[in-house]
This record gives sequence, C-alpha cells and structure tokens, in this order.
Amino acid sequence: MPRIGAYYFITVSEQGKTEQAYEQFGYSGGWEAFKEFKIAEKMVHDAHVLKDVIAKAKAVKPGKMDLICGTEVTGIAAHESCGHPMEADRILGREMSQAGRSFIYQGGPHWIGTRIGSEAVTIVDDPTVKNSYGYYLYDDEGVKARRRFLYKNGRINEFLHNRESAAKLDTRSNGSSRSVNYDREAIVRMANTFVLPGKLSEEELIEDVAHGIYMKSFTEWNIDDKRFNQRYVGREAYLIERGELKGPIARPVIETTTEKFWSTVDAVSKRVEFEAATCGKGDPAQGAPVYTGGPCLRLKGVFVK
Amino acid sequence: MNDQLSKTEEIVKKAKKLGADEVIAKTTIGRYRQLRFSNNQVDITVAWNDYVTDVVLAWKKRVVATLMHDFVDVDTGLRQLMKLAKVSKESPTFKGFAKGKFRYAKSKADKKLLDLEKPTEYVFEAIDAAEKEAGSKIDSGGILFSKFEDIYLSSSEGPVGTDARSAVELSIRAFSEREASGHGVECSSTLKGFEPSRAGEKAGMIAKLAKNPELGNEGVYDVVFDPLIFGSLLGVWAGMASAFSVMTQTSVFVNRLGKKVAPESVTLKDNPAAYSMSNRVFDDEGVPTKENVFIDHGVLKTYLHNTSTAKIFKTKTTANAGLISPTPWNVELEAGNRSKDELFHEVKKGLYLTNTWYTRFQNSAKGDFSTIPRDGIFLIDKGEIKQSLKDLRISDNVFAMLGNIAAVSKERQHVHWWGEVDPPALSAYVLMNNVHMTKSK
Repeated sequence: MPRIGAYYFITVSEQGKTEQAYEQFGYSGGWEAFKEFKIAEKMVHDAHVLKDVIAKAKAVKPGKMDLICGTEVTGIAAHESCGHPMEADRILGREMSQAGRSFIYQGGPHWIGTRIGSEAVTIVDDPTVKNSYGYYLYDDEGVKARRRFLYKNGRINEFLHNRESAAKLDTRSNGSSRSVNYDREAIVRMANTFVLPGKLSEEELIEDVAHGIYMKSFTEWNIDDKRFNQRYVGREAYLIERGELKGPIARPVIETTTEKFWSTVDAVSKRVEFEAATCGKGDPAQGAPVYTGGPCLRLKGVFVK
Repeated sequence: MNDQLSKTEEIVKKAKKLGADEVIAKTTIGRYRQLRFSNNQVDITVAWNDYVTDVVLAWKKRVVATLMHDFVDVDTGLRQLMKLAKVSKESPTFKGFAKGKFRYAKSKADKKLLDLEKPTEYVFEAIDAAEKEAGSKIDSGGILFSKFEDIYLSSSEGPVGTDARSAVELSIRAFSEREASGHGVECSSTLKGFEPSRAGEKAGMIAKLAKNPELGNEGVYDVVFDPLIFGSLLGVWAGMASAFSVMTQTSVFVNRLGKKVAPESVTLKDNPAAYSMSNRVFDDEGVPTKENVFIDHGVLKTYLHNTSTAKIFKTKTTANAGLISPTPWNVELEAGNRSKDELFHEVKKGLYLTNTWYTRFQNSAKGDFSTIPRDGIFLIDKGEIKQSLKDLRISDNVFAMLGNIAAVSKERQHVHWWGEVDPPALSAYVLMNNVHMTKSK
C-alpha cells in the first residue's frame, strides 16, 4: 500500500522568548494528496499563532472552568485514553514491561459495559476510512477490517483484538493485528481512532460557556502506562468569556484522569477532523501510521492551570 | 579482501561513476534474537537476520540517502538515488563527509552473541530472582535481546573499515500487586559479566517495597533518582548536546558553550566504549570514535559533531555522525564520591523515583517538559523509605534540573530499556533538589 507522510517542527523566537509547533501529515495513496496537506499554509498559520502567544498570550488563572477541546486535542485524547487502554494484549498483560498495562483488567472495576464517559461520548477505531493514514481492508493476520466501537455512549464496549488476544478472551479477532514489517510480530494496534460527531456547531459549543478555555491544539502531552492519568498542554488556546472568544492564553494545562475527562463531556460538535500520527508500541519498536481525530468537545468544570 | 567490504566499496564506486560527488556506504549484517515474556511465561522467541546497506550521497550539495537489502539491484537503486538528488534542494548544512584514512581500534564484540544458546534460561533466572527478592508471587514481563552485527564501511573520501558490534540486554518488570511494580535491567556488550538475576533482584526488590501505594501529593521535592530513571534524563541532555539540536533551537544548550550549566559535581561524557551496548570503533562517516567530555565539572565544553556541523561551528568532528544529525552513542555520568546510602540519608523529606516514561516537551528550547514516573515511587522521610506512592508526574524544566543536581553516587550501572533509556547510559543514583511534581485533578 503506498503511503506518503511529512512533518514539520518550527520554533518562533522573539524578544528572547520561544514557542514551538509540530505538525504531521499522512495519507494512504499517492502524491496527489501532497498539495492537500497545505504544509506551507499551515506553517505560516502556526508561525502567526506562536508569535501571538509570545506577544499577547496571558497566563490562565488556575481553577475549574469549561474547556472546549479542538479536534486535534479530541484526537490525541481518543487515541491515548481510549484506543490504547482498549488494546486487548495490553489488558492481558502481554505488553506489561514496555508499553504497559491498562486500567481495564479482568476482575477490576472497569470492564465491558462499565461507564467511563458521558452519553455524548462514542469513540470508534476504523481502518476502513478511505485514504486515511491507518487505512487497511484486511489486517496482517488476514482478518477483514471493520469499524470497532470502543467506548459507546460512554460505556466500555469492544476491545481491539488480534487472533491471540481474542482466543484468550474467548471471542473473535476484529481485525486489529498489524505489523510494520515481515520480520516483526503482528500485534494489537489502532488504525484510525476518533470520536463520533454530535449535532452542534463549534459556535454553539462556545456560546454556552460563561468562563472557559478553547484549547485548539496541543504541544506537550503524556499519559501513564495504565492509561489513566494524562496531561495536555495547549499550543493555540483562547480565553472564552460569556460565550465569546477573547485573547490567546499561554500554554494552559489540563492534568486529569481518563474517567474525569470523558465523563465531563456534555456536548460534541458535528465537524470531524483527522490528524496523522505515528503510534509507538512493540519491542522492537513498531511505529504504526494512524489517524487521530474527532469533533470539538465541551468539558464542563475541569481544572485548568 | 572481505567479500562484503568489496561489495560495499563497489556501491561507492558505482555511485561515483553515476556522478555523485561524495558517497558513503555502510553494510550491516545483523543477527538478532529476542525473547518476549509476560505473566511469567515466554510469549514468543524471534530470530531475524538483516543484511542492509545504508547509502548516502551528495551531488552539488544535495544530500540523499537510501537503504539497500542483500546487494540486490544496486544499479537501479543508485540510479533512483541520483535522480532524487537532481530534484532535491541544496542542503545549507552539508559541508562534506570526513576525509582521510584512519586506523581503528580492534572490536571487542563477543562472538558468543552470534547465536545465543538457551536464551530461555536467562529469562527464568531473572524471573526466579525477582520472585525470591519480592518474597511472594509476582507477575513479570520483559524481553531478552541479543545482537551481533558485522559492519563494513566505505567512503569515497577515504575512510574504509570493518567493525563488529555485540550487545545483550534483559529487561524485566515485576508486579507484586496490580499497582506495585519494579523494573530492572541488565545490559552488556558481552556475555561475560551478564547476570540476568541482578535485573530480577532489582525488579523484585522495588516491587516488594511498592506494595499498597497511596496517591502522591503535588509539591516541590528533593528526589533521589535511581540509575534507570536518571538514564532517561542523561539521554535528554546528551541529545540536546548534539550540534543539530543546537542549530535547530531544540536544545537548552544554545549559546552556552564555555558556560556553567551544572554544578561542579557533574561531568557528562559520550563514549561508545567496549562495555557499552552502543560499542563501535567508528562513526557513520568512518571517523574513529572516542570519549568526548561535553560537560566538564559543570561547564559545557563542546557540542557533539559530525564533519558538517563541526565545520559550521569551526571545530573538529567528535565522531558522532549520524549523517544528518550528530547523535550521542553512550552517555556516561562520572561517578561521585558518596555512596547511594549517603544520598538517601541526606533527604529529610523527599522522593525516590525508579523509572519513567513518556518524556515530552512543550518547549525544548527552554526545556519545559513533563515525564511520568512508573514502577516504584517512594516517600523518603529522614533518610528512610516510608511509603509507596503512585500517580505523580515530574513537570519541570530540564535545564533547571541539571542545575539542581546535589550529589552523584559512587555506584554506577549500565542502563538501557526500550525507547525510554536510549541511548544507553552509564548512570548513577543522583540526588536532585527542588523537583516539581504534579498530579491529576
């Protein structure tokens, strides 16, 4: 399968201050997509954003407030705190020494059917999205690919399986087995993980926020190896006052749990966007091309600092 | 002459004939063995061989590279590479490959690692040691990995040589409870002195201490870092010492050559010595490798260079090519003069951190970052480990942390695991003041 990819990393320096941005692009198909990446346009946009952050952004006054996650932030959260913990090999302990385990385990407080988010949250992993970076129709064990509903209306619904993990949990593979090369083990992987859209426009999400932050994109992020404690730092972010976007905010931080993040989602916008990423897992490391994505989310009363 | 070296040289000659100005070809014949285990059982044993030639060429300052497998269809590969060069843009940072003939040290690679006998025994030695140390049933997982690589390098600019590189490592993570774990590693370039039980004992000991963890509290702490977690930080600082990181403003060491960046007790070197998993006698340009002290008693002495970056900085290569980006091979923290126990005794109220993962930057030019400790996290009270903790994050600045090193232990350990402690390091227990810890709210 042909795939093309690109990335850029930029640093903007002014008045002794610096801000940085990273963007990745990916497509399953040929060079026809390259122009669609609009790399130059996006770099210029990012450069302006970073310049504004340096020149105008204010620090956030820490406290509980509403948070609008832009599609990029939605995507990374879906990947890290839904996709990864729903990998059955991780749940079974197969990756315990490297990529870690999951907060979901047999006999634990979370299992299929357990509530992990609000009704508004449905997250799928779907390799069949045409031309997506994680596109495939049959996995590397020959199992037909299909959409998997991971969190459905806020409940844990279906794990990602290869044939080995499925056999151990007495079910069937759902086509999640991927290997980056012929001499690498095929293991349970995500493909394109995203939140399904709702019905509101982004403006409608914002107009009901009395005081909050719009975190449009992120810079630093990480999550613990049970996939429960995570942190996202905003790159392009704005203050929201009485339903209106105000000035830029410098690197707002949310540090929260998987359950709190998805449980505080009260509304989801209707426009879905995807970002290309390279997912890390396996030993030797197998960087797998994936999409992360979704619509904008509105989280009620989360602690932002 | 060796057949593989001849074939490698042939690639260089062919590329020159096609019009390349400068060419380097490096052939690696690698034999790799890996055994993965989890839940105290072996999941899979993998053996793979790789036969690959890295080719990099410059044409009118356009630099392009490719991989060729098994010397198959070299002519087509080189023609395509030249074609690519002709549609590429001039590289502003390319200043030529290393020139001259060099003599290389003799490789000390261990031929026993060509084909590891009974690898399963090493794994169970580690599991048994972990269980014995933990004093109760444990759940463990990890890997045993060995490699033996024959390297053949030929450059149109003079360097030509052969090397053999070997390594073996065992990494084990042991759980005594669902949220109580310890991680141990045993790393070497040879089987001699390779003792998997040491890794198991360390993992088991930490797993035992880590039982019944309580949620940690945010705050600013004095921290004793285990050699394993400190190896992650050593990799960050060494990566930022690469001249490429400095040129791309992704380093905290920009404009700091000759300046104090750490306390007097801190000396950091890059040294792909014979003991290291990254052992090598020449770099990717064929320049003989050597020990490079880049922070000498707290003063930043040099960046790590290949030939091109060295010319840009008006100095000599440190033999850290990496053709695009100079890269550290094996980071060494010079031993301190206090024992590990003395470091713990100095802490009235603080933390002992044993491992970490997911080190990510919000600004690598300034050093703002966070990383998530995993496995044992412990509260130290009056020099003693008092309580196991969980769910804390280091949210700090790597430049500030370098300056906050208070003491380094005499005891050192060669560490490497996955992408988290990479490059390998000769690390130590380190006491650091004023480390900022945060947690989920």
